[in-house]
Amino acid sequence: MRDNRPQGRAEIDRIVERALNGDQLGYAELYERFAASLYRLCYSLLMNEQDAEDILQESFLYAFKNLRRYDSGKASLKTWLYTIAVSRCRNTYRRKRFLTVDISQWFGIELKAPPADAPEAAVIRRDAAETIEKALTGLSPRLREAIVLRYGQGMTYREISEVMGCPQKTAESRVRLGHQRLRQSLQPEGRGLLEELLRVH
Amino acid sequence: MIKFKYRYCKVHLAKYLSGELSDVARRRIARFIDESPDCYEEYLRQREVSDQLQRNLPSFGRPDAQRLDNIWMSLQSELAPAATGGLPGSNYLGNTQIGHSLFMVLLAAILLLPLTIGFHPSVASIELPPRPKLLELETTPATRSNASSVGLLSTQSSFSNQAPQLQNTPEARYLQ
Repeated sequence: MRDNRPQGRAEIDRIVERALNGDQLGYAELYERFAASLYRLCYSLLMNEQDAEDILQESFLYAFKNLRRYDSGKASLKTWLYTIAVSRCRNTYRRKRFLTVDISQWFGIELKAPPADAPEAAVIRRDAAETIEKALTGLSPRLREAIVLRYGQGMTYREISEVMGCPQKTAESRVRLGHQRLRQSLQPEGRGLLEELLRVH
Repeated sequence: MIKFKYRYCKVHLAKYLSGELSDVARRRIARFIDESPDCYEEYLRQREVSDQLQRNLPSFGRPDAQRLDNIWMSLQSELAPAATGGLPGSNYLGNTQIGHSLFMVLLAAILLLPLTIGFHPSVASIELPPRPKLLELETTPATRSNASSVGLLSTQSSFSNQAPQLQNTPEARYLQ
């Protein structure tokens, strides 16, 4: 019978087979292949290093204990692992929802940003990673998941729909909506950066 | 028509930018971008955001090797007790099932214990209360004349208990 799976996927399936037959190096190899990207996914969704570490560990623990349940015919191991991690991330931000509510919103207090001419403010504004983090935090969890899977992990819409457990069209519209929201929150920063650069030169 | 073009662009630009549209749709979007200033502006805005995300997100939250090693160590230690000496291999499920089976056997033995005691041979060896021995009465001349053996005495005494009911019968008369 001809194997229609992509070469990388077939190789991973062989490693899985080895692990299931009791080869412990197989587990180590799987961890080495997916740990970094899975950690990045968890961190991008939770914005917290400790939480990301915990979820990464929990996800691998679950995956290794239930490796027999993995069906290579249904999805790739990467998609399966991401599904496990995303579902755990959802549980975590559901638990933390009440803790992360902005108290200033409750009491109608407007927190003042640091003055624009302060050197720290300029540094913060130039830091692209922080800008993205801020923009991502402003997104709803579902839109954030779609954007992170799309741009952070380079997944196709089909893979995103498998990980998020929704139809492909829904995944597409979530990416589009997230994109629009990010554009609104990123563009003022972009303009500010541009102005800053023009002033310097 | 302008509105339609703009809406169509807005919906499909993300896919257009990542090269995921069919040739027909791709050519249509390109034409709309060329013809409509609104579509062109939308295209520039979306391209800027896409570039920013594609540049920054893949390096976002990249872990150092030490952190990943630490997680691997703790992962191994968490898996070890469950698998009794290693990562889950082929014998992982077997060990768990053996544990459950042993527990069930033990539970069954505890529950059946009271029933098994009822049939234990030690029950048969428990001493029964002693049987009443035949009375040996001191023989007197009066008794010797009426009865010559102990057996007759006992018969006599049992009859004397029933004497009120047997008053008019030949037996009662004999006894008196």
